[in-house]
Amino acid sequence: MSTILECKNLSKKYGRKQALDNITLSLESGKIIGLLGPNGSGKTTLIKLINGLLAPTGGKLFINGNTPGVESKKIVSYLPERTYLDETQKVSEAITLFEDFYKDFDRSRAISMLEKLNIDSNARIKTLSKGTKEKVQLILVMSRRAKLYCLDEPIAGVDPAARDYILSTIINNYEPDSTILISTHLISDVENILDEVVFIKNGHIVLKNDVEDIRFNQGKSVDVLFREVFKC
Amino acid sequence: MLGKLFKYEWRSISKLLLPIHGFVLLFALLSRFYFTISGGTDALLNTDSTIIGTLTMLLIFALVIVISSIAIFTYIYSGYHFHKNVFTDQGYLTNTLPVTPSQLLLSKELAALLWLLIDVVVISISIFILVGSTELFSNFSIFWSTLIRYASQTPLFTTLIIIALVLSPFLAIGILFFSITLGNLASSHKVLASIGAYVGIYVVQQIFGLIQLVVWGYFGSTTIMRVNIYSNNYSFETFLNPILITGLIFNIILIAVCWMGSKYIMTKRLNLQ
Repeated sequence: MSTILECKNLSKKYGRKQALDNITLSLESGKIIGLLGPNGSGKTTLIKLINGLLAPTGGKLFINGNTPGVESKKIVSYLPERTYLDETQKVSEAITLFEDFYKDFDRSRAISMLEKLNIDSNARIKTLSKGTKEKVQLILVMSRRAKLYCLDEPIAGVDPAARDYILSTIINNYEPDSTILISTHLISDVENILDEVVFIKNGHIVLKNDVEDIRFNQGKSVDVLFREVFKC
Repeated sequence: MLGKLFKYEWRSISKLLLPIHGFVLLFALLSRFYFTISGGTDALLNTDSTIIGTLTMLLIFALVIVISSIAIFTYIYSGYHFHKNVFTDQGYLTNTLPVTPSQLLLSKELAALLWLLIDVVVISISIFILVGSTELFSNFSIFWSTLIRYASQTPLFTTLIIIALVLSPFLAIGILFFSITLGNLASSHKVLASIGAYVGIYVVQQIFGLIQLVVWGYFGSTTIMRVNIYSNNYSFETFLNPILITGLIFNIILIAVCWMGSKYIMTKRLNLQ
């Protein structure tokens, strides 16, 4: 068990808006962690900071001991909330790209997942439906044997059946000593796969707890606790 | 990694640029073929039929426009592609690849540079296709040997001109990419801000150009264009060499500033929306 992510007094300000305010957080390896909070709470900001897409305005963060950079990007697999592939490419070309740049990419895993979903590798990405595009991206991300997976709202835009598929893909494909950080506001769908939850509100961490503790010791589902904590 | 980045960048921008350049060559070829079988452009333009005359004029006009704008198109498209691949949705992939911002920048600049060179070749070939003839070739040979003769008599001037020519595409690409990274520092209207940055850098270049003319005495009271009108001892290279030298130094510094600036912004000031 080691610390895969460490944030120390991490802050991010956009103009006048304080998106993250003095966050201190440690995440351990080998866990599936839910980053839960309402829209605009800072979940995506934190994930973008982890991936080096934003520069912090204060504090530090370390991924496996490294600040965001080439070394951290080698071990972090990121699924953003948007289509980030060049849509003029074919699915097969996207797979080759991932294989080219990421040593930890497992091509056979990707191919078999595509086949199971009947996604044609020769299809151009722009011809696929929104849900299929998201599945392709998820397959690419989960086919990497990464140490930290950051999934930003992986199930928000898809139908319930697809959600189940995505969640089972996540469970079945991650490495045992890896950490998966899932950011979402759809709590009841994901809570069954989570080991830990981190509640974030207005750029502050308001809670960090084991799911078991919440369920058995407090006797409530994470969804219920969420509604309590984030009551409007 | 740099090689891989270059490969993907090359493939991506060539998807559009290759057919367009192919079209230009084809257009030139077909036009030349048409002119030849019709007895030449003079015959077509002076024909009795006003329709054919007008259409020929339009064809010539279109050829001029297409050939002269291919380089500008390539230039702007390289910039647009850089912006799209690094600073929009695709940036979520580009900037999370395990590569340094320098490698990203360099691979894209090299791909753009190579296409600018291809532009020069394509434009030259197109012009040759359209107006090439043995007469033109022999005239050009005479022109070229005269040029070489003058060049060998003015070695410093020639060297400076050649260096300036070689540096100019590097400078053009450097300024383009720096303008785009600068523009993306703005929180909104990034494309507009990039255009503004480009104009700003152009203004800086012009101001420097003016300063160096003044400093080297091109606006002196006893000299006109740095030529002492009371003396008989001058040559064109005497009065151009100083500004060529300072201009070159300025451009080299500008290339360095654009590179370091772009790299800094992509490393420390990337704020992907």
